[in-house]
Amino acid sequence: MTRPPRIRPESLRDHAEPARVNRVWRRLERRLAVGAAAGGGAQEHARRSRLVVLGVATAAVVASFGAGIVLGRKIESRPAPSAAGPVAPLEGTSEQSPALFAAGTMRQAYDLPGGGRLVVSPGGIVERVSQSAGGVAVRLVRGEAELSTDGGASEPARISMLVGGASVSTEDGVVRVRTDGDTADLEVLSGSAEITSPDPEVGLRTTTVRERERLTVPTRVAVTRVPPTELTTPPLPPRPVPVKIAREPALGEREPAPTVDAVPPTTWQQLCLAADFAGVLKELQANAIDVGKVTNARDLLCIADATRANDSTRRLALERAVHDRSDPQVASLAAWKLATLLEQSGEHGQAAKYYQAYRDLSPGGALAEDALCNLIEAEDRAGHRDEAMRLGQRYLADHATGGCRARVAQMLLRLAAERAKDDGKGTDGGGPKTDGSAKPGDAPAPSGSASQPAPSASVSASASAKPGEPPAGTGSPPQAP
Amino acid sequence: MTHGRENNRLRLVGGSAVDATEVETPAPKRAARAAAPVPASSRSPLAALPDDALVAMAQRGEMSAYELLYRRHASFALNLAARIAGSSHEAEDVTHDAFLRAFDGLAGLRNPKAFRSWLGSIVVHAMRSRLRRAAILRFLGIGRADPIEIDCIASPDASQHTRYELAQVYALLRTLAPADRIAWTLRFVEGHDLHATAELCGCSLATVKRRIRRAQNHLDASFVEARSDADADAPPSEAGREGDEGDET
Repeated sequence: MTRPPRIRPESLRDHAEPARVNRVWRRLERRLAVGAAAGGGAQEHARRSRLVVLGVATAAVVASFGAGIVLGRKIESRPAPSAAGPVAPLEGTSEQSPALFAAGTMRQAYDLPGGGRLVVSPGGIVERVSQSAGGVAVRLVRGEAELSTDGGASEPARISMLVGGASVSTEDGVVRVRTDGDTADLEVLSGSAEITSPDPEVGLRTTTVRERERLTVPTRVAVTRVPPTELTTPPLPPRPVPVKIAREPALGEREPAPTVDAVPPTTWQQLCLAADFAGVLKELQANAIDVGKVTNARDLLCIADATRANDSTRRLALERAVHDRSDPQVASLAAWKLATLLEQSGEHGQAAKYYQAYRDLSPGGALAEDALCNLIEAEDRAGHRDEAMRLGQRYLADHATGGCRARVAQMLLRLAAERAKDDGKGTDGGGPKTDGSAKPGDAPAPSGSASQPAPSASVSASASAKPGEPPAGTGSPPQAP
Repeated sequence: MTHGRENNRLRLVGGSAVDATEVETPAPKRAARAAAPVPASSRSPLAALPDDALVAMAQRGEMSAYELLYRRHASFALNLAARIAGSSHEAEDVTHDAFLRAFDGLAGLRNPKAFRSWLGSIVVHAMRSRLRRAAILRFLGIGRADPIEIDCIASPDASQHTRYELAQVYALLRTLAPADRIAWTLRFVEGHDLHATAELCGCSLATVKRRIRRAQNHLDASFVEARSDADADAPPSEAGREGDEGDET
């Protein structure tokens, strides 16, 4: 039996922001003014009478409706939804707002957008990483959770779950995943799933797991920490093969961090393994740990999690984690987190850089398509019009059923109109950058080429496509007029 | 931060305006609030009047008294609604409706000094109705429970560990009966004493103790700690002592 910790007032959010207080007052003021204008007890009585009648009528309608539903359920003899408790949908929540899914004694079920369901087992915690029309990616922080493409909305979705450096994704099945921090245990209850896990020999290994099969994979690359004095004294423990990245990294050309650290695991590193971020923060502060000297990506990611309240430290830790190429899965997750952090702080140019870093580090990763969508939008917000258009057209060509086709098509339409307007003014419409941040080698897009956007009907048709549906001229960029 | 905890304690008797303003505003937010435009009403000489005087003026229909009462207690009502719900989606509507109901019923208020606790009981009643209605709708298969949007509960300054713990506590609270959930939340999230909790819930002291104990037992049996060793960020729960308090009656 574990008692929940005391909830400290300073841990709770203060909901009484001045804007909200004023907003409620304005509503109240209007109602009070109306009430005062109406005046008189008789009118008040009449108003209440009307409300009572309305309430009774509403109650009757609701009761009839409820009775109909109950009756319908009885007739259909459908089983109860599940023993997993109430279903909490994600629709309507802010995509940028972090959301946690947790469960106490009972399993807790949550509907996922685009179809599918997440069931968190008792004691489990899952964090939403990204959400788009094409699917949702979550991260299993601890415990056990079940992903299912059934249930919720009618359309099946691709659901991905990150577990440390491993990722599990399924489009047509029910998958149960549990983790103890070092390994991920995958059990496919129906359908199939793909699991990508770090492998010291090949970097990343992708395995398809079929129905009723189980697989346990490591969630991190084995790192042996040996004190420097022991490095020269045989026998040494076998050094793990550094993970190599297939593609040349686009970000800072630093050398991969050594996989053999100079010191044995410290207290804060052990606390990291236990996911005790409060303890990590205290240890970091107590020992004045210099984030600039931490080299291991996983440690840096842990520091970033522990220092959520401190954007500069969090940013530094994530930047360093991205550049530690010994564990590309962790580095890619760090790149994603850093990009979203930068985007929230309005640094769209930098955000674009790290979305690109994610794509370089994890080209087939669970968030690769989302990263491209976000990259396009970040380039657009940063004022890099040509780059946004180039990437947008590439996205439309490569992702025939992509989740953000409609958004991208609309963006292309707008950018094309802007460019046409600039052309009309006699400016350099094909200029490489509107904000003067052109890179060396950037050239104006040739007229009529694939990178030339079109403000015409074909683009309009694309823009008017429904989300999830390819716009007219599927698979090809909008045509020039 | 003892100050913060005391901030949230219910004051059964409305104090002076100066006291109330100080009590309602948590220290870290003061600077931000100071930067916000100050409503004209708060600079009014009426701002120094206690609640009962403002209630008397509001009963005569003076709009400035309504506004002062609202601004003095809006923070209390908004936080109360949001923390019971575990989300901020409904807090504005509930606060708006509660104030409207309170202002409509000012004529029937027997003890004008107790405006704050009376308002609180209206908020609690409204939230209980909403929670019950949501439970019924979910039972019928047409309702939806809110996800645990941790940003709506936890302070941006809270550590990740604390956020995870809060998420789990609220996930557990969701499985409780609304009355038990509200009693526990008022006692251990809002930090009200037992008498104030009973008054807000509109029930006897013995009943509220029973509800709190039931909720606490459920949480104790269900909460899963991230690790077994002592957590510096989470000292031993004082909630566990509620059972002893309950035995006093």
